[in-house]
Amino acid sequence: MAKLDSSEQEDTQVVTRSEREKCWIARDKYFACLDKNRITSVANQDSSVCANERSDVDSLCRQSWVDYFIQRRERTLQIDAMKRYRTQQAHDELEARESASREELRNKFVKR
Amino acid sequence: MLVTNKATIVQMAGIWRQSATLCSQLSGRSFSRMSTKDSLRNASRSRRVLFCPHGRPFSTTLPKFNERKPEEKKVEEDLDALVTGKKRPMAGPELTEEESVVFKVAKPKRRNPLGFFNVAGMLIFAGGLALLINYKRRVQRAVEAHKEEKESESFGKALIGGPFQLIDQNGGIFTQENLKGKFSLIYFGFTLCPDICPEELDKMAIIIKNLRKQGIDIQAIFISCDPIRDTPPVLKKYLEDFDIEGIVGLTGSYSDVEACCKAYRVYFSTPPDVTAEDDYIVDHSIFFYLMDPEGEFVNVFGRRYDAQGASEEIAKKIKKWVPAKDRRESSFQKPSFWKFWE
Repeated sequence: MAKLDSSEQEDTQVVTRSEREKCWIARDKYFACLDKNRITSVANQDSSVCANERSDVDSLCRQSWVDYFIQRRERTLQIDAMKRYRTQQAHDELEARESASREELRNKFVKR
Repeated sequence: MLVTNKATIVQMAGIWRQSATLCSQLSGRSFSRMSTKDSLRNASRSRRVLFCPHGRPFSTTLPKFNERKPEEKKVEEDLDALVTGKKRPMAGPELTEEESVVFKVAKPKRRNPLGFFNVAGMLIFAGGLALLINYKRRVQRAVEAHKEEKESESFGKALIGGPFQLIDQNGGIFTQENLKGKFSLIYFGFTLCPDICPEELDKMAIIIKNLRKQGIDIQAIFISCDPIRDTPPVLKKYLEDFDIEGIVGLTGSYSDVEACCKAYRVYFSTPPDVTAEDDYIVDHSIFFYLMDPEGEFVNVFGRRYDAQGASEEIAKKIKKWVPAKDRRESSFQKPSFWKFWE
């Protein structure tokens, strides 16, 4: 990346606002592609999927940023999945309890 | 044949009077006692009647019977009045002046719809009631506010802040003394932050603008947690991107920055042995620190505050702020009963 140019000693590695925004747009496009292909973990997949978008991101953003964004996305997806799983569990538990109580009630009447 | 002389007339007047009283007693209507003059007048009137009898019984002895009864006369008069429209039906009996003075006829009084209350009294009562309710509400509010204040008073100040020595983006020295004189909002970050620091700095711009619009003098300070890569020229260029007037960007040697972060209880992950060419992300705590004109810590604002919420909260804290020497134990001030507008 042009940023790591060590010839400019004065303002090395200053990312301006416009550059940041370009990087973000490319990142969002890449992540949209990944979402469409239902890829959560990039490391395990082969690099042919969403390769164009990935190359854009790599050219417009710093490497540390790319890694950071990908890691953060993965973490967020994991957390969301865990949340959904937990809420589903809670619902199932509630449902089971309720149906058990309904069964009891039904049995009471049957016995009578 | 009776001899009509004065004596007889007087006798007849007497009889007239007696019969009048008897008649009134029988009819239930009392007329005033006729004066002797009237009786005499009536008696003389009847004198004429005496000489022209009408064939009525006792017409000579009791001239009273000869005359049309007063009730009859009245009835005829009333009927005439009704027909002509001079008198309303069901009107009370027409009394003579004397009668009306002596015998007050019970007129149906128009009832006051409020009973024995009066409007002025009711208004005063309502006003007093409103004042009382307002007072009670104000007292409750004051008690709640006082309780809240007491709760929010921590045991001593939070141990945030302290001496530091850093360099600003123009190369000048900046210490904790430079915080004095005005309020400051401090943010710790680094220039090569992917998205969080730019977002927070934009938020800071809005907060500063809001507060300055309210006339609050506040300075913005950005302290770098990445001193190795963030040199003063780098900071200067970076901060140009943000619309914050008079923002101060601070950096320094690694140990100075480390000391400052420790004083402000800021976590940051930059290891000391990286070089300027290394590419890494600094993990750091994301907070705004509000410092007062004495350089003391006031409050911290995390990511759950958005720009509007933070500016409101800061404005509130600044308005409530008093210098240390003027500070005293918050005592409960009872609101005044009469000053309902306070």
